[in-house]
Amino acid sequence: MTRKTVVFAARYDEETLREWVAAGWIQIEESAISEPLSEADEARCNLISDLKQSMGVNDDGIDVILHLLDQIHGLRRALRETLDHKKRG
Amino acid sequence: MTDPYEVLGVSKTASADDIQKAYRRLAKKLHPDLNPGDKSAEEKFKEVSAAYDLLGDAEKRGRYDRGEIDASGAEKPQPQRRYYRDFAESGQGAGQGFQSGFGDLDEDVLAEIFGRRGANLKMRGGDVRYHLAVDLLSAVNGAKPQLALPDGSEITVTIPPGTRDGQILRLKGKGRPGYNGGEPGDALIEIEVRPHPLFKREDDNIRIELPVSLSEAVLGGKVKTPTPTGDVMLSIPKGANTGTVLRLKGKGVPKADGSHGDQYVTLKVMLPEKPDPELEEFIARWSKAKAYDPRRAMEV
Repeated sequence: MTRKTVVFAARYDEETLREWVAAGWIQIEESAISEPLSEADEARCNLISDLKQSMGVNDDGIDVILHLLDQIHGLRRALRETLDHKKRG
Repeated sequence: MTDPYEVLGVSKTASADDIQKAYRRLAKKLHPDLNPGDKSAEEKFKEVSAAYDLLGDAEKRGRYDRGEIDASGAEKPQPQRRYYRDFAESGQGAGQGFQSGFGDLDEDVLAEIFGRRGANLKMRGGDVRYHLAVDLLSAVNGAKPQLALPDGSEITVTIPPGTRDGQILRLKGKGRPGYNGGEPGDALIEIEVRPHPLFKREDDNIRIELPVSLSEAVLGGKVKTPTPTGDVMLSIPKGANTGTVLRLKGKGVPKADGSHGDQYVTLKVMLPEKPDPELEEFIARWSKAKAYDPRRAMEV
């Protein structure tokens, strides 16, 4: 079999990713922009895409939602660890 | 399948208006009735119409852009979707908000939670999805192609004998690197098996159609027959008719337990390529006494 290049299945084009990095919605290094996204980054992009398209949220709304969502998860993490800590006494 | 955006000559971010203008411009140019001498006009016009059928409809265009349907409008199988909440508490991909909002609370305890533990949080790297097309014989017999990944590195993929269309091969550790010493994710390669002009796969069996000559069919004989692993000699029974199916045991697809499926050969009796006056004369004579009606059962 002759050598061939495998194409990775990318859902988001580079332009879109750069826009979202500039907006502060995702954190991806410029050097990693053309590479396959990590699962976490891809899941976050899917969320942004759902907010925009399925839920009709505008850019300002997405700003607020992501900021609040990140805070919620930060809190969940802190709470989880505090409870673990408590359980272990 | 061609990209409908390319067919209409518009960018993926074109407005609905742009798309309609592009379609009208092309329709005027390519309509078969406006190009009576151009045989290719009909094919091109069909392609343009199909592209507009897809992109001119806002819903269909959205579904195509999101990868839910392909250019013909058919539903595409969706890869398993991950939700962000699975990754959110580890802070992966998160924005500034994740560690803010605690300014008024006990800083030390929180520094402990987000600082030390956070820094030491080991995470497995993510999986990466690829797509690879192989020909049918490579999938049936197995193959070990060497592939170049987009980042320039090379890997050897083992395609096991009997691999099916749509099967996903997992290469451990060839995905995204892990975090803080976590193990790397895997490469998931979706295999597309291209159709073969001769061999057709049906479960674990292979089917082919084999043309045989008049004499081979009437008198029987041994005929060289292709199989996925090479040619074999097949015995054609005397009087074999078109549609007769012969079975080559064990010449099909390798199975997981080490056995093989079979190859089924459907015979097709072929008259000589060029009309033969001797044959015609003989048949004219022969038929007078030996006429038979193959359409008897049809009551024509």
